[in-house]
Amino acid sequence: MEGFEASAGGTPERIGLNRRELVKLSAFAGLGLAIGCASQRASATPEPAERAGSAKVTSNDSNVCVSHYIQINENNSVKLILPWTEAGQGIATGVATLVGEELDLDPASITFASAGYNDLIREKEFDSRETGGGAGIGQSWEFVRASAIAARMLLLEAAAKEWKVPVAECALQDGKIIHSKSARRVPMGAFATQAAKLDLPAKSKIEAALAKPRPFKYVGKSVHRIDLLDKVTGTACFGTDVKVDGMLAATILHSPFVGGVAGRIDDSEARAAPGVVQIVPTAYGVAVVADTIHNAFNAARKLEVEWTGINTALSSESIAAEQRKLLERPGKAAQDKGDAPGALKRGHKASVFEYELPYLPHATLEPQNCTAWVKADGEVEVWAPTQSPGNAQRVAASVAKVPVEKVRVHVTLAGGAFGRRLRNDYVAEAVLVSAAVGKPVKLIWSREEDFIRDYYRPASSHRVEASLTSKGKITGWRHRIACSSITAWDNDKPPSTPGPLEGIDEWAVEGAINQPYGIPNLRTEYHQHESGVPVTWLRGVGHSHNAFVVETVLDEIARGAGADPLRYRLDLLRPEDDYFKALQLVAAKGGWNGGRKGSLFQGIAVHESLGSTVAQLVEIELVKGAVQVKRVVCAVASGLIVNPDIVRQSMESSIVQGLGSALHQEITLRGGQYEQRSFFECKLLSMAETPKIEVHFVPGGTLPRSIDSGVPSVAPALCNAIALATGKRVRKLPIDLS
Amino acid sequence: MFSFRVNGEATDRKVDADPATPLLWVLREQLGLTGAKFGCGMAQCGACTVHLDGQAIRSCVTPLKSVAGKHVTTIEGMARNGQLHPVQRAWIDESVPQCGYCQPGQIMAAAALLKACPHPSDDDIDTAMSGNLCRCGTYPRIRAAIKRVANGAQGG
Repeated sequence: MEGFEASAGGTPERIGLNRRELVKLSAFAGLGLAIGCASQRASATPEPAERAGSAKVTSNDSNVCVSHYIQINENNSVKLILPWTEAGQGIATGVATLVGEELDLDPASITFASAGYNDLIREKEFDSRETGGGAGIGQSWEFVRASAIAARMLLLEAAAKEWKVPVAECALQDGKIIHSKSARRVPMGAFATQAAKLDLPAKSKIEAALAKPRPFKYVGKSVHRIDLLDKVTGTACFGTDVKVDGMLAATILHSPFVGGVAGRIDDSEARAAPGVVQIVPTAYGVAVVADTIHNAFNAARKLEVEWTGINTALSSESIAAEQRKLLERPGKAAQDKGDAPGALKRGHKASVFEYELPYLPHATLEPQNCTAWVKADGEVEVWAPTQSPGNAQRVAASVAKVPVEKVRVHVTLAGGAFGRRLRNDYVAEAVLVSAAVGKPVKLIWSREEDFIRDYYRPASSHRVEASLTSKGKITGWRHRIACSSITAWDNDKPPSTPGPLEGIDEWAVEGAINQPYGIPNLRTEYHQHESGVPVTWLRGVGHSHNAFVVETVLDEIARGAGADPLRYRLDLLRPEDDYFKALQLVAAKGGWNGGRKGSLFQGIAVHESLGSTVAQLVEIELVKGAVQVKRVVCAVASGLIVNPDIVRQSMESSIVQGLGSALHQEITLRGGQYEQRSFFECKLLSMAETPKIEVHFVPGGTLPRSIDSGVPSVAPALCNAIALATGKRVRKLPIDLS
Repeated sequence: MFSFRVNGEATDRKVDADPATPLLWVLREQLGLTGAKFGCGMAQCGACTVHLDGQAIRSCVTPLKSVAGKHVTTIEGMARNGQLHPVQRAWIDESVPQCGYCQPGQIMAAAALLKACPHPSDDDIDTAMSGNLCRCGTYPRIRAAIKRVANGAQGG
């Protein structure tokens, strides 16, 4: 059976049942049936080949990790324990749809929770995945359906046994087990406990069921999201909503300077403020603990902290200047196809394109937060909207100085994530504070702190040199990139210095390497540049800066050669490429005719990331010299679409974020300090600025791929429209046409 | 001691706290009503929006003392007798929420708009909703949901 190659953050992973085993969770016996999927930890000694049919997780299976499970209760309720965090991307609904498909059960009746290290047999056996890279639905496709199929088979077997009828005559229908011949119709839950006692079906049976083609009932339909009701009634529980009896509230002040650490602290006024319990200096910042969060915020405003070890010469200009200087000489080669330097020398015309792109914030609407409880007996409990609970567990253990097995992590809903919550610095902070006061503590950052203690999308500088024939065809292309390394900053220590980087940072060059445009001589180089500003993944990651550069340079070259940018790109692609199909679809739906449409101007761009390709057409109007975005049309090629409406939501979200970043956002530094601390200083796109958005799908594909690949092609499409409208090429973001 | 009516309950709630305490924290911490959210604490994001005597306000900058004797409505009070408010219903029908964090505030702001202006124009919507930020970018669906309620009110 074929698995598929999914790009989870740039690392290909082959997934198929041949590497996973179904697991019936024996500790759940007595309450119903729970079936999950397990994989071997990388360091495990080889297990016996045939485990299906007898797999039960026991205390000796220390190398087996359960990655999710479906729980069917005697009262017929079905709950899905997901290895991912629901942060708005819709993964809970996507996975519930796969379960509903195989159980013949309306996904609307399935409830869910994110798995942390808490409610399974033993904490360390739970392999909670990182939520990110758009990888969830692709990874779920086979193993979630397999576990639902196994559940179905066991339920039918249990019923057939009791009714003394052939199992082939039984079926699941709308949550009931039916035997038409005898007109029996019983809720699934009635047989859950008996089903739990049976041996798992043979793997070959499950694989055969998985491979059997049949029309889908729920997959491919826009089933309603299963998290809507809680989110419109206010009952949805985010990290900031967690309540633990006896908990105190806390907030924390971080250095507003890059790399600063707390020196002298004058906490006399803060300590005297109402409700204050304790001031807790930590390596991350100075925390204030109080009886209520209002009192904690109030007291924090009275803290006077001297920040030391700061570099007041650091500014956005100094960073950009250093990066530009690096670009004057060759960097480390990330890709070297053909002979780009030679082609550049020989070319009829060599053009240089230089770009400066800013640090971008995550600005999740729910600020960073964590509730932690370091107990007297050494157990630690943590509640957080984290995208990486396994990492959260390790960080908490390290900071509390306890073994990992002593830490339980609960994953809440996240009020936005976008990559910020892959970091667990706020977990470390909350654990330190709880340890200091000996009580559960809910730590909430203020909005100001959220802005100044982000791990940003790296600021980058680019230099592209392209050589052209007299007809404007590209013969050579060299793209030099200077920016910080996300890999080097991939840790949750106080962010004073980055760690080491070996070789190239893959996150810096993705989207610049492996272009599909058939350029014969292509070289991509990377210069690591560190300024002390911490960085991490932000939706789009390296694609967000490289797609901007590539798609606007290409557009400029096309126009310079007197060519239609759509036609220019199509000539460099093959009709079977997703790039080709997405461009054609977006052009057709957008009414592309060279870029002008009455008084409106259009720009196009296309980019593949995380395995999916999205083309965007942005339509603008110039009103008194200012750009108004009227409409964005996008064409998405992401394989088999499990839920079209959720993909539309993802594209709408990407477009609003992509436009907002391009038009308004940058995190700047002056005198070594971060300058943006509020939504006034760093604007999100507003309702009034949001254009009409249309989403179309490129058909084809038998497996689901990332639905979150929309961000990279937005800004270049916008700037290509601006270039046509104004004659100005945007080389620096955010856009400033003055 | 400050008394005020919450979500049409039979009796007033009585809260003994610093008169300057923002209503947002009184609701969330003293009264356990966590539907209203903290997004900025400075009236820039609207996640804290609730109604005070039927008007949309930013509870993060509304001190406790100013709600004494008044009626406060939160997202928890929008559904009546097990029936969702039409705005909540429209939010589900249009599948508005993504992460959902801003949505209680969005719903409260939209409900107040529709009460004052049952058939808002796009400009009316832009203005009334401009103080409610959505980082996930659900604005197109918020607009569609508001219009759905407006059209429903016409009986269409």
